[in-house]
Amino acid sequence: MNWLQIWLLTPALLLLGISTHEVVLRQAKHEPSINDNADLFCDVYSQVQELEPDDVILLGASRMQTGFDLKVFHNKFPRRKSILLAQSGRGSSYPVFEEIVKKSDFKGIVIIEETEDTLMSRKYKGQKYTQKEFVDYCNRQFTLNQQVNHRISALLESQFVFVKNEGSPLRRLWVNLLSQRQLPEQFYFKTILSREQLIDYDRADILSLEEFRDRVMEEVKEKAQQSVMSPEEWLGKTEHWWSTVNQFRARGGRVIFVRMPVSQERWKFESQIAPTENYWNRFVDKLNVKSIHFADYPDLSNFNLPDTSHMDMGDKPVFTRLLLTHLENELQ
Amino acid sequence: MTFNSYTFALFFLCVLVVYYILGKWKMRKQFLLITSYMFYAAWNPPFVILLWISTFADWQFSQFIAYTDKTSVKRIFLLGSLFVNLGLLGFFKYGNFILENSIYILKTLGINQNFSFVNILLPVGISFYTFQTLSYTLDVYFGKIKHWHSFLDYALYVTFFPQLVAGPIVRADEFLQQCEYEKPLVWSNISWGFSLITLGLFEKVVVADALLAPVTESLYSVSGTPTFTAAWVGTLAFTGQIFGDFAGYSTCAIGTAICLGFTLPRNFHFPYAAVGFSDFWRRWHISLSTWLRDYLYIPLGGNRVSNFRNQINLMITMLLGGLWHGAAWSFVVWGGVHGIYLIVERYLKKTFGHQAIWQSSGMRLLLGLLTFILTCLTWVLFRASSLTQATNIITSMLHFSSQAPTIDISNGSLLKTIAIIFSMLGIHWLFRDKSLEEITHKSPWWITSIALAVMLYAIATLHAQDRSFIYFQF
Repeated sequence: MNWLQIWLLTPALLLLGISTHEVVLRQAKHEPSINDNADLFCDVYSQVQELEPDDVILLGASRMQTGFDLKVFHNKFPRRKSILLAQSGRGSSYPVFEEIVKKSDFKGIVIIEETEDTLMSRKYKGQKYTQKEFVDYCNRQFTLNQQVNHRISALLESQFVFVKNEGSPLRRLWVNLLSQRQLPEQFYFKTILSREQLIDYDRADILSLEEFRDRVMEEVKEKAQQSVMSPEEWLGKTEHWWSTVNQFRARGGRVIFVRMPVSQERWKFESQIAPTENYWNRFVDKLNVKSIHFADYPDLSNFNLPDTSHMDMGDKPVFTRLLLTHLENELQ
Repeated sequence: MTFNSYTFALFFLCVLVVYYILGKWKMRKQFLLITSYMFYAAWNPPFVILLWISTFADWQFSQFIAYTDKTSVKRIFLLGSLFVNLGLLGFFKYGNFILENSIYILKTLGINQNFSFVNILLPVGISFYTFQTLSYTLDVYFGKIKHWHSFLDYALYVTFFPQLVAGPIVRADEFLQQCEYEKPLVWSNISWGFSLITLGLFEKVVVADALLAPVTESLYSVSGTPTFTAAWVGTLAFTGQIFGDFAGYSTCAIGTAICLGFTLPRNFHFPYAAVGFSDFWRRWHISLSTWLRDYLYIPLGGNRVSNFRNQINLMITMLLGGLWHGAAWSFVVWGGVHGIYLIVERYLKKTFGHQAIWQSSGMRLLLGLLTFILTCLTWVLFRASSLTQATNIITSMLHFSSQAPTIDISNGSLLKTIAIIFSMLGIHWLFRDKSLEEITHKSPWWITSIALAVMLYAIATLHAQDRSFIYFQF
C-alpha cells in the first residue's frame, strides 16, 4: 500500500475542502458561534462556588441572554465578577435559583429576569424542556472529561464556522447549493463563551423576521382576549419563590427582579393581560425585593425590538449601562 | 471517554507518542494499563473499583483452578467466578428488573410487598468486561488455555482501553499471546489504524448520528400510531443507525488497537448481506455470538443432542443473548424471535435445502432481502421503549393497525433514509465475501485517499447532537 502517498494527499484534500467550506460560509456572512448547550451552561455554572459576596449571578431566559452585556458590567464594577446563567427557551429560571440557594453557599446578588407568565410556573407552558434539566446535567454528567471536551469544542466553535453544531452547516450548505442554487441563509444571532447571545438584526431576513413578529403578536393578542387569571390566584401561583428568596436573604444574599423590555406594540396587550400594579408590583411588594420593570423607566422602554422582545447587539451595551444606573444603589 | 470526542483524540495522541517513546516492553504495557484505567475513570472514577474486583477475582479463581487437581474443587472455584461476575452484572444491570418482576409475581400470587427501588447507575461496559474475565476463567477450567504467567498481561487483557467499554469481546488466548512480544512502531499499522478510525467515526458521527438518528427519533421518541410509511422508514433508519453506531465503535476500537500494535477480532462482516439467520449471526456482533456459542450453547449440548433438545438449547442461548443487551422484556422477546428464526431456518434447510434452486444468485439475493426485512422487524423490539410501542409499530408495518395514524414522516426523511439504506445494502452485498483490508488493497491509492478525505470532511462539518454509543448501555 502507498500509505505515504495516501496520507499526504488525504490531509491536503481535507484542508482544501474545509477551507473552501469556511470561506464560502463566511462570504455568506455566517459567523462562528458557540453551541448554547448544557455543557456551556455547566462550564459557567461550575463558577458559582468560587463567587464572592459582592459578585452577581444573572438568571432568566433569552431576554437576559441577549440583553445584558457582561463587559459593560465589568467596566463599571471591575472588582465584581458576574456570570450569566439564563437559558433561552426553557421557561422560568426558578429551578436554577432554587439550586443555587439550596446547593451552594453563594450569598451575593442574583438578578432574575422573569415575566408574569414565567413567575407563576416552574415549567413553562407547552415547553418540553425546563431549566432544571441543565442543572441536573451539571450535577450528574458534567465530569472533568466532559469539561475538557467542551472547552476544546467551544474553542473551535468560537473560531470556525464549519464546526458549528446547530443546524449542520454541511447539510445546509450543500442541500441549499444543490437544490436551491443559493448559499444557506445566515443565522442572525450567535452565542459567545460567556453565554451572552448577540443579535444582529442587520443580518436577519426581513421577511422571516416580520413573519415571526406577526406570529408572536397574534399569540399575544389571542391571549389578551382570553379570560385572565385574577391577581390573587396568580400571586398564589408564585408562592414557590417566597420561601426560597427568604432563605437566600437570610444568609445575606440579595435578589433583584427585572422585567426586560418588550416592544410598545406588544406591551399594549401584555399590560392588558397583567397590569403591572396588580401583578408584578404585588409580587415584588410581597417579597419586598428591589425590582426594575422596564415600563416604569422611560429610558428602558424606548428600544427598538424588531422581534418584539430581544435586543439588537448594538443596543445591548446602552441598555445594560442604563439598567446598571438604576441599580446603582443595590450594587454599591 | 468516547471515540467521537475531542478528549479522546487528545488522549490517544498523547498515549501513542508516549507508548512508542518508552523503551522497555514491560514499561509500555504498564503504561497502557494505567492509561486504560484513566480512560475508564474519565466516565465515572469510582466504578474502576468494579473493574478491579472483576479482574482480581477471576485471576485468583483461575489460579486456584489451575493449581488444583480435584475436579470438585475446580468446580467450586468456577462457581465462585460465576458468582462474582454474574453477581456484579445481576446487581448493576438487572437489579431493578428482577425486583420489578418479583413484585409483579408476588402481586399475581396475592402477596402485596412494598420494595423500594434503588437508583442504580449502570457501569459502562460491565457486560463486556465481565464476559471477558469470565471467558478467561472458563477457558482455564475447560483446559483450553493455561493460567497465564503474568498478571500485568492479564490485567491489560481485561482493561485494554480500545475494547474496554463496548468490545469486541476478546478471548484471552487471542490477546495474551500478543503481550509476549514487543510491538515495534510500524508506520503501515499506524496508517491502517487511522484509516479504520476514520471509517468508524464516519459510520458513527455521520451515518448513525447526523443522518439517521433524527429519522429514528421522529418515530420512536414520540407516542402515537405511525403510518405504514413512517413505521417502515423510521425502522429502516434505526436499522442503519444501529449498524453505523456499533460497527463504527468496533472499527474505531480495532483501528486504535492496530495503532498500538495489537490485533482485535473482527466484530462485523457486512451483516446486512446475510442470507439467513445463521449467516446473520456469523456477521453481526461476531465476538458476542461466538462467546454465546462457546460458553453457553456448546456446554448446553449444542447440536450433539436430540433435535428437540438442540432447539431448546438454541432458544435458551438466544433468549439469554437478548437479555444480555438490556434489562427489559423487549430484549428477551427480540432474542426469542431470533431464536425462532434460527429454528425455522434449520427446519427449512433440512427439508428443502438440498434443492439446487436455493444456490442460484437471484434466489440468494431474494433470501438475503427476506433476511434483511425480518431483521428490520426485530429491530423494532430492540429500539422501542416498551412492548406496547413495539406492537404498535409492527402492526403499522404489517398494515394491520386499526387505529388512525398520527405519526407521519417527511419526504426529505423518506428519501434520505431510502438512499442511505440502499447504499448500505449495496455495499454489504458487493463486499459480503471480502474484508476491509482486501477492499483497500485492491483499490487505487488515490481512491482510498479521496474516500478518507471525504469521510474526514463529513466528520468535521456534519455535526449533530452528541449521542453516546448505543452499545454503551449494554
